[in-house]
Amino acid sequence: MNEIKQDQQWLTDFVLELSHQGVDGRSIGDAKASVESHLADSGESAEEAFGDPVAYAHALELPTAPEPGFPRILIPALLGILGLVIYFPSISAATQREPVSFSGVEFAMFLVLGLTMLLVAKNIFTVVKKWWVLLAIWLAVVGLGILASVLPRLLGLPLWEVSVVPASILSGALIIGAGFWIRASINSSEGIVRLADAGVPEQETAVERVMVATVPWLMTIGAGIFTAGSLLI
Amino acid sequence: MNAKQWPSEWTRGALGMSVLKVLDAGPTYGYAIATALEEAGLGSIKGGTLYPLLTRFESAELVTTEWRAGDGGPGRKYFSLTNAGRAELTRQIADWRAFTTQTLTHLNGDPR
Repeated sequence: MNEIKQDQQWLTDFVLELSHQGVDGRSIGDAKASVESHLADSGESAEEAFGDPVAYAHALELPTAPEPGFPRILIPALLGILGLVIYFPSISAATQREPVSFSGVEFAMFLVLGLTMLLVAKNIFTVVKKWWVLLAIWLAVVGLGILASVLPRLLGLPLWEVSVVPASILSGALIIGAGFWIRASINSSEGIVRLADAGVPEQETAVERVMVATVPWLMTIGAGIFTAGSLLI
Repeated sequence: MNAKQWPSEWTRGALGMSVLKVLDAGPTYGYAIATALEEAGLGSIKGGTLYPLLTRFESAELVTTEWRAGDGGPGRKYFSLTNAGRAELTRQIADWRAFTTQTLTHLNGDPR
């Protein structure tokens, strides 16, 4: 069982490396299925048969596409975060029955966050190899949003006030809309093409399925948790 | 079979044409190629060595590939030699023969 897990990790690292190189989805699917087929025939572990996954991915010398710009998911993700930047202070203000005030600090933080995300996107294949880095990024996004909701008040720098109802509705719609857009971006991406006759049994774990289904809605979930927390407090 | 394990640099030099030779007998898949080479006494060839070579052959159009459904297990990718692959095998065998003859002549000669 442990060997199967190790092989799964090996395959994940292998696929990630090929994706990082810009190999197209069909070739990745073919290379992955070849490995799985060989392992089933030989009874060896992936490490035994193919050595290091990154070195093997390089050794295959598969044709690569020119490096893409930024992932399609980035624009909706940034829109969702902008929604959070407006939503958090709006909900805070709503619980206190006051208009929401924006000092500009939160938008400055949004720009910082946007730049961070651009950098992360450019190095995504290093980041995704460590799940705790992804979790840390998500916590940082939610944390910065919460910070943005209290910092202007702490600094006493309100510049302009907006009614909470339209601000909450518009920012909430932005967050939910971004969730749908992210989901559409994920669905329209080619991913790894499974080959018709390769016949490799589906190895995706329940955790992976939940992760893929949850990713588009992380910001919505974060906003929901914040709203519930604000109402309870 | 307790096959002799040849020095890896020797195996590397002869591997390409040995794989083409296995494919000359008919279409087959990666693990079967590795098994055939081992049975021929050429040593154990790991997937990490074999598949990059097969991928290069595919890119050079020396072989064509086809996925076939497996018997209850994963499918298998079959490799077939093309005419260009057959010509390359003939050329490599001739070159190898000339090289080994030259090497043996040298090794069997009187030390100077």
